[in-house]
Amino acid sequence: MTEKKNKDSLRLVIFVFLSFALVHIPCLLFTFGKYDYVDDTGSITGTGHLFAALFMLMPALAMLVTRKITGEGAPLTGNGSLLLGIDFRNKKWVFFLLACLMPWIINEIGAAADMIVFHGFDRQMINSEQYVSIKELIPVLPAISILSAVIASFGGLGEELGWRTYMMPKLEKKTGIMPSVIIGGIIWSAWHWPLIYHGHSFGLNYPGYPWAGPLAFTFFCVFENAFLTYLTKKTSSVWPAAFAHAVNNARPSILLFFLNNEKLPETEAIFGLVSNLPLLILGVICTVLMVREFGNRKTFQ
Amino acid sequence: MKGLLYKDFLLMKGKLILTALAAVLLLILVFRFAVAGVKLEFTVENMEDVTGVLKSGVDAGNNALSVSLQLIDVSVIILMIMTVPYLISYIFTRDEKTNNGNYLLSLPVSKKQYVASKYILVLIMHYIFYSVSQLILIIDMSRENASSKIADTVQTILLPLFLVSMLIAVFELPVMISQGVEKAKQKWSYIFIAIFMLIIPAVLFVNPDFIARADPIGFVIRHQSVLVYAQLIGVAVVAAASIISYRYSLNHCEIRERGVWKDD
Repeated sequence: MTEKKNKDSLRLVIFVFLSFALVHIPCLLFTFGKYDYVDDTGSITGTGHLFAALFMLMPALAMLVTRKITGEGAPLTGNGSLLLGIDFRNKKWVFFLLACLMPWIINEIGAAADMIVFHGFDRQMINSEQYVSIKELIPVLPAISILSAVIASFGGLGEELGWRTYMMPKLEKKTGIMPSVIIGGIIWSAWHWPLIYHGHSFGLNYPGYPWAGPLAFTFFCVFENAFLTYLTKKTSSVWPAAFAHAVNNARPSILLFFLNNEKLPETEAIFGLVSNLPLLILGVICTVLMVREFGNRKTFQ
Repeated sequence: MKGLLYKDFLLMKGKLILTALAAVLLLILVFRFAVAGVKLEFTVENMEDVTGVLKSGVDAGNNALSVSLQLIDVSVIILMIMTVPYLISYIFTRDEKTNNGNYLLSLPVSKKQYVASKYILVLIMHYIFYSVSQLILIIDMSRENASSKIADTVQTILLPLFLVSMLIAVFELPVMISQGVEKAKQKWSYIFIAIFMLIIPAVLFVNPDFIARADPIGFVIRHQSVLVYAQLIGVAVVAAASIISYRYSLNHCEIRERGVWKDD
């Protein structure tokens, strides 16, 4: 038993080391000015998008390499597996649906919170050229975003195969559910830090650069980790987490279209402390549910 | 069912076309970075009058180079779309040649599992190839001087193209499962002959000027809203067609020549 625990610890260390190395080392290309991650306006460049897409596959690659070199094997379903199976029985389909819809609901509630608290509703948007050109699409924008994200969820799958199906079970075995959610969230966030340093999510000109961005991102990652881990545990499948990750990245929302960031305080526009409160609540709920349902069990599934 | 899917993927593993596609994808990625810095350049001394002309020529050359690389990417994406039906047909052909159906009778495999495994295989293959196509598109859009019109057009029509491919697969699968690959190929021959018979009068009697005036990129840009709605409806149509096709396959699946499936 002790030998198995030591092996799991070794696998965890190897996985974290590999997944960090596969991203942090190429990020040196941005550090030494070979490529720009963001342009002068703060938007991610084409090269930045390419690197981001490739980086999303690195946790899965690190996981496969770790399994190979430590002789763990890579079963597709079952205990200690890649959790690639899909099972809709016993109301598991509800969690697949939640995975696709919750990020959208969170975004809408967050945008509504910003509009109410900071009066961020942009009346002029309704008369703008941009609105007129796409007003037929606005009612279906969330549906299209969710659909496109689910169909193109290979990036989300790449990350979730590493973090939720490999790292989280091993962390949970060592520390229990709640500590693993926090530690896993911090590790996941730290993996993003070089990209955040080069402008990912927050740009390069936010107050508190370069420290506030990673801090805010850690806050987000811990609670998002709780939600994604809950989805994975309830369905014994990586797919809901992959879909939720992809949909979250797509940021589907109707209300966001009408939110004027210039009316928000700078910290809110960049870090979204109020708009991310729904995510905080969701994360806490998922953690409590996991502790109640799985708290005394030693196995992940 | 896991075993059936595993068997089908193993069958595809050694196919030359997959190795070739993987090599092409790697080359596209390598060339994205290896060729990125290569540009047509010139040095001009004391030729101010022609500098403007030369510069615009060099800029045009750089743009043409970028567009050529983009068109290569688009060609690879189209090849991806065409590879999926080829691989599905290959798997069914191999199953028939090796009498796999009779072998399955000796295993605890039900008709439902066999039929479902084929539909899931089609879904997985389309997912994989669509994901790879998206990656090629991302590589494409990251190039300097990349034409956003070409990239946006391909982005808009990529999903519809894959939906059409899936729709063709769900119509083909019941025929292949119930009657065999040869019958399915025969039916395709009839369809192609019918299309050919429609094209001939069109070529003979329709004014070809509209081909010269055609602006597919402009069409996609002008009708983006319609295409977006079409995508939503298309997914629903493909999902509905898949369910109907699956039910039909289940009712008509039987081992040809002898034997019956175990009860589910």
